[in-house]
Amino acid sequence: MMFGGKLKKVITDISSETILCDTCNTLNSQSDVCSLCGSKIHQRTPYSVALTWAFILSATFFLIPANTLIIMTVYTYEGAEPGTIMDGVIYFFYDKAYHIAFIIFFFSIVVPIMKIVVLYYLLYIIHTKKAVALHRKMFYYKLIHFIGKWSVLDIFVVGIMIGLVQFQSIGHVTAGSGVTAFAMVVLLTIFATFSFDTRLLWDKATDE
Amino acid sequence: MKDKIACSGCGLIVHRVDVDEESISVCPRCKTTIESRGMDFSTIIALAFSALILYVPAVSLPLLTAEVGGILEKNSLLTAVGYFFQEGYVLASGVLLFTTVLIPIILILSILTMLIPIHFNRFPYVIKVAYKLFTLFHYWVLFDVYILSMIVASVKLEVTTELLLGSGMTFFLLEFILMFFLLKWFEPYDVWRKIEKSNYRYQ
Repeated sequence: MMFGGKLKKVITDISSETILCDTCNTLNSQSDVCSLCGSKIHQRTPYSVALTWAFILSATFFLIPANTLIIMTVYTYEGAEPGTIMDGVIYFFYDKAYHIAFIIFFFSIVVPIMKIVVLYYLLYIIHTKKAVALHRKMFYYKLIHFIGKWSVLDIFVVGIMIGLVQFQSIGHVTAGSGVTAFAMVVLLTIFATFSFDTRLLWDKATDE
Repeated sequence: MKDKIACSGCGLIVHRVDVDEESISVCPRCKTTIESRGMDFSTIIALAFSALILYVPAVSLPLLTAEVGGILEKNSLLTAVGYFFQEGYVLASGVLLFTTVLIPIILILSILTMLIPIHFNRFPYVIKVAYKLFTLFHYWVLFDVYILSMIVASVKLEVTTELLLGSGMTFFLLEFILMFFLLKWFEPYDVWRKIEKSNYRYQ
């Protein structure tokens, strides 16, 4: 720009009228099916934005019961001790198991919220702003994609606990309906991440 | 068309370059990996068979054993699913069942279904079905998350109960390592590059 030159024109699959097959990674000329594997092909994931909105709005809704309902109840001879996700974090914190408290807090509370916030932000960019600094946005997407599956952790912990602690009168553990709400949050955020097509972001960059 | 490819992350058209097992090609614009090569298919077949053999003891033998006042409670992957289901938490038990029991075996069997015919230079339609199953589920093997969950649960339980490692733990850890390398070394697009070379086309 300094020398009055123009930005180098970027050739994409849209401008060159080609379609990349999601299944076998082959570049096709305009057609409905892939020339190599015969799958249906499309330039961009169909209904990507609408699907991401649907998943992310439902995930936001389920975030409330997931964090307020009981996830696990521990019965001992001293009585019942129900707990939400945050109670689990506090229990480990007072127990001086700071690393475990951090792991649960990070994967069960921070990660789901982070995923939802990042996807809202990316959708906001797609709807309104001109896309700048897309590398950073791409990094956020790859981060939530990579870290997403680790939020299942709390469901597994409850599963292991109720399987292991079945000593009837001495002590046993049951799950609470918070588990279902939390599983919904985890699944919906992962589905939202999958349905978001990052190429839509970069399309905005080549629009100018 | 054959010498060009589009980046799956941003749609940029780039030239295809020959990559080998040690190198990958990366999109100059968004840094998404465009092409990479996995291990030789015979290595993958061997790994998949080992994972298949270890699968049954890994999911059915107890991983952790808890003891209180002489009562022993054994916990394997399948019993954890069962308890969840009995209490009526269908979704949570479904997540557990899929990610730790069903999906690993689906992936192992789909890899074998793809690679064994290709090894003998046959390209039946079932390769495409197995490939779709593989790409649908390969994100969902959560053995690593399960290992961390066992650590968290044992920290919580060690105050009140005596915890022992079950006989299935060795098998489970070996299965975890095998699945890790199986998914790391197997590059699904290699299947299509083989088919491309064979001039076989699916309609």
